[in-house]
Amino acid sequence: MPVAPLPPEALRRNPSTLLPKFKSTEDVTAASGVIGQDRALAAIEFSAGMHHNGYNMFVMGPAGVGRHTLLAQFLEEKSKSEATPPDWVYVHNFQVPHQPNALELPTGRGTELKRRMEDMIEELNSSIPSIFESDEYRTRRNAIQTEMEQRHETVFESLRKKAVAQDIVMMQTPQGFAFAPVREGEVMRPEVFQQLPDDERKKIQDAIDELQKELQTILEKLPRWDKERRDAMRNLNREVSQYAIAHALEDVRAAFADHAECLKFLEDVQSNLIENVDIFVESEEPAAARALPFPVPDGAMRQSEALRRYSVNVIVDNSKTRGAPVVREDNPLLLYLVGRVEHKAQFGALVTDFTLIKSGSIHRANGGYLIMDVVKLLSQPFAWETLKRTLRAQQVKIETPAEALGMISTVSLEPEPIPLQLRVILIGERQHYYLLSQHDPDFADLFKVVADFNETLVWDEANMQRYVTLIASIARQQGLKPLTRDAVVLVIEQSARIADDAERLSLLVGKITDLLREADYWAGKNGHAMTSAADIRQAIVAEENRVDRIRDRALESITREIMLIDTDGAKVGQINGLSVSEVGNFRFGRPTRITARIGLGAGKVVDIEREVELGGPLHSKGVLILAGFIAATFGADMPLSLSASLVFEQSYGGVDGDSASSAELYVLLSAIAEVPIKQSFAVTGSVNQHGEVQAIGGVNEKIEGFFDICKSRGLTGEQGVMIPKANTKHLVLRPDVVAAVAEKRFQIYPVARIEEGIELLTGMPAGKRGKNGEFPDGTIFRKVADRLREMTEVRQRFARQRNSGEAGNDRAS
Amino acid sequence: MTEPASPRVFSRILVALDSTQASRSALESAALLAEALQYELVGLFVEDSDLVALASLPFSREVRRSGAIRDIDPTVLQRDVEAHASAARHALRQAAVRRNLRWSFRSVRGDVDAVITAAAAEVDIVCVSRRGAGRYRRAPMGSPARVALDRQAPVLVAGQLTDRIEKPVAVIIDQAESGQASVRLAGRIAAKAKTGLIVLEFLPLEADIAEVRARIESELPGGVTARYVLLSREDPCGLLDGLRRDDYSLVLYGVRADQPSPAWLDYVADAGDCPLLLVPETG
Repeated sequence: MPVAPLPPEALRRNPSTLLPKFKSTEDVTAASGVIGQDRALAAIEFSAGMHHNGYNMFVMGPAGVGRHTLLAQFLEEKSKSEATPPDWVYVHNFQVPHQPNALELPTGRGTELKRRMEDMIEELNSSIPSIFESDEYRTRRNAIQTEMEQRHETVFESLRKKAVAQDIVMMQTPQGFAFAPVREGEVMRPEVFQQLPDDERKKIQDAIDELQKELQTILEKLPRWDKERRDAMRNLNREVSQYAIAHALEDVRAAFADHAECLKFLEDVQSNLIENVDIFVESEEPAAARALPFPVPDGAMRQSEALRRYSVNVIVDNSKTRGAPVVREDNPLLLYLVGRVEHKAQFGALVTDFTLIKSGSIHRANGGYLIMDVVKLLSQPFAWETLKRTLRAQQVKIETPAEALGMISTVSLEPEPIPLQLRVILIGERQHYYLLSQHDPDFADLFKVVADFNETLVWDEANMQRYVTLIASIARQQGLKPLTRDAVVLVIEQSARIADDAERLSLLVGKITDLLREADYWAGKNGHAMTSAADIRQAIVAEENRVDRIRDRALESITREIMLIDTDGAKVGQINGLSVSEVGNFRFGRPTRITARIGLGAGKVVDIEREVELGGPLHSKGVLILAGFIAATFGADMPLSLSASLVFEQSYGGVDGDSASSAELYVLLSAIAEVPIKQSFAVTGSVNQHGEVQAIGGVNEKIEGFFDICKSRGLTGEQGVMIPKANTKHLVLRPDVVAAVAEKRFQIYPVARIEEGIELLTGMPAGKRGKNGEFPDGTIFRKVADRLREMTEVRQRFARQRNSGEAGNDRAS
Repeated sequence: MTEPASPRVFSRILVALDSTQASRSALESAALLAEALQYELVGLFVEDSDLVALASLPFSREVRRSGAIRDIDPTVLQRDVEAHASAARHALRQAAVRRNLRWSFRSVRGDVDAVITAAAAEVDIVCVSRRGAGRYRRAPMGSPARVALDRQAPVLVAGQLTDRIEKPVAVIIDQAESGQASVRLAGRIAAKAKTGLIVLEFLPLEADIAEVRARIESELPGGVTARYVLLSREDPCGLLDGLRRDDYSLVLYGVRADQPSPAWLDYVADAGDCPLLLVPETG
């Protein structure tokens, strides 16, 4: 029985009957949340609830499916009920300065410690100088100074007097001191000295030798005396400042009395302040420094630098965080992830200290959740490896790859690692998850949970209701005009079209949102208070028009008969196949002429596309399958003695996929049987070795592609497209195609088997083997079988003639 | 009313330079005052002729600061002295350029006192280091400060450095009938630097304060107003405390050649922080 064309109602499903009652989306209660993602939601809940290591999560699904929205909604609620993590600060390590210490403080108290330490320094900045300017201190300092000067003066004065008593003077030379005899207030001239008697000269020399030895002894004592003076000064400073420092630290100590580590830090601060109390006293700037030909730090700068060691660098401040932090890192550079140690240029050198440690997103998310895009993460050098290492070690350590690789030798820091309690959530597409699972052995251990987002939702009454709610919610969230009921119907139809399935609805919320926004724009342009079906349609058409230049060029090349496509008549060995092209996000179908030629051969079907390396493996597979069908159907009782070639005419790019294999089989049968194929048809569908026609992708675009060609040449009512029967449930065709079908000007035929298809294409029955093993007369398959038998006979005859010829030749020789 | 005597008119400040840190400090003080008065900065490096003579003696040896005793090689000594002279010139040039001052430098061999005596006759102010000033009374070979004062040149004793003369200038008056020259110079400096003038009245009990103030007012240039701080002559420590406590850019004091310097002046020179300008008084 011939296949009947599909009725118009099968070409575009109308959701109206399943819709709840409403006039516009204003009547629909909006609800927050994403629909149809129960599986993913359960996974997210599981990962967030698990507190063991490794239960980090990979959220996968196509972009626009609502992964970020669902995560954000869930984590916002979940995190509120969780504990707010503590603050973390870095402080100076007084024992090992290049390894700053990390201190954990109760939530919000990091900034308090910082402020209190600043206040403490501020207090010392005023109290210490006033102590040092006090009369008591000055007196004691002067006493030390005077005692030392007197000690110097006593010994020098004594030596000087001793010299003067012997008419000798002590003089200062550029390198030290020297003694010389004097006469009448002047150093004795050499000629005068030479005239002195020997014994007097010797006496002077002996006296000078003695004085020099004495001076030498004095000078040897000077460094020790100087050290004694410095020690005395240090002890004095320590004594007078001790109380002030302890007093200044009292408040900080009291505030953090129950934090042992903090108290230990304050202990270190106190000891260090006492040892370095002169920081607070502005020292006289050495004049020599001013004369240097390069800049040197001035007093204020030196003081500011010295005081930095008592400051507090708040790395994590959770004072404003409510519950667990949820951090989204949009730029997961290694430095932004694990933090960094910055440097600053100071007089030509790069320097750093613990105050230049900057936190990363891992620090800020510690105790909560860190969300990242997996592609961005993987495309940043060292970021993925470092993240894995951090998660495995359960602590965040600041390191730069340049240092780790020894690429720079600038002095840097090794901050103490901070313990980590973090749930990392990676968002990506499925292929990223599968690639990581396959190629990274650590991945499965660290990301044990996968949240797989659906792209589609079953088209049933319950889901339809939820989908209407979703549309209404999007319109309200985006501040769009309400949609009329007809507009909602069209949006749902378009959703099925996006899903490429008449029985499912798309969950690509991003695309639906774009459609609603654009329709809202057109509604505004058209002066509508509500977005109507016409506005939705205009948005769809306008969106297509913006990107369909290539489709127009392809259509034009066919209508101008540059690309040769027949849409009427009948021809042997020629058929219209259908293919889908994709330009960006826009897909369109177009017909391609496929031809077959046969000759005598060894039963081989030549795929010309493959021979010239324009055919992909799937296409080659399809050709081999159809060859298998022919061999099984017609070659069971005789060897196949044909050679066939198949080609996509005027195809200069690559061809892949097996959706044209049924068309290739039809054209091959036509060529063998020498029965013409109606050119008013276009064919799509793959075929298996049993002759069953199988579903293909892009069925809507393929039908519309051929429809547009036929329409441009004038619809005859004979034209139509043969599709696999299994694709019937995927049909969501354009309204103009549906209208043409309703008016019997265009037809869509669902085909389940090759026999059904060949009958439609040739108008002849396919034929079925009778009890005698033969196909009935007047059928296509009989013609094919007869032709193949003829070819076999010809080939056998030819072989016999060649053999007998060869034997004759043998005999003759 | 006494007509103010004409000030010296060279518009130069002489600073005696050697290789010591104290001498560099003196240079900075001199530059500071030269900037305020828009004077030329004159550097003088004296190659001590006694040192040259010493180097020529057959047994000449020096004890270095490290304690090592080495023979003095006249050639090496000369090279060292020249290197110090060059460094002094460089420091002078830098100080002058930084403050946009006219400057000149001389390196002269001779007797230190004689050279400075000669040079002091051609400048308005001689600047010496605090160390030199504090010890001048005890120094066996004479002192630049004493020599300069003998030549009636004011002597600036270097003090703690500031960038500019912004704080008030103070002048110490310790005798009712003296101090005209120092008040006059203090007034000129205060006027040029556009800063205040404080008169520290360190007078005997019997002094007529009103008369002293009237005389001081007559010495001041137009536009300069003095503020008076009365201190007890019986308590020199009060003066020292006041100098330490209050912030002055410069302290001036009039020295009379016919009278010995008061004992407290050495303490001011030794312990005070700000530069001290000793001004010879004629009366």
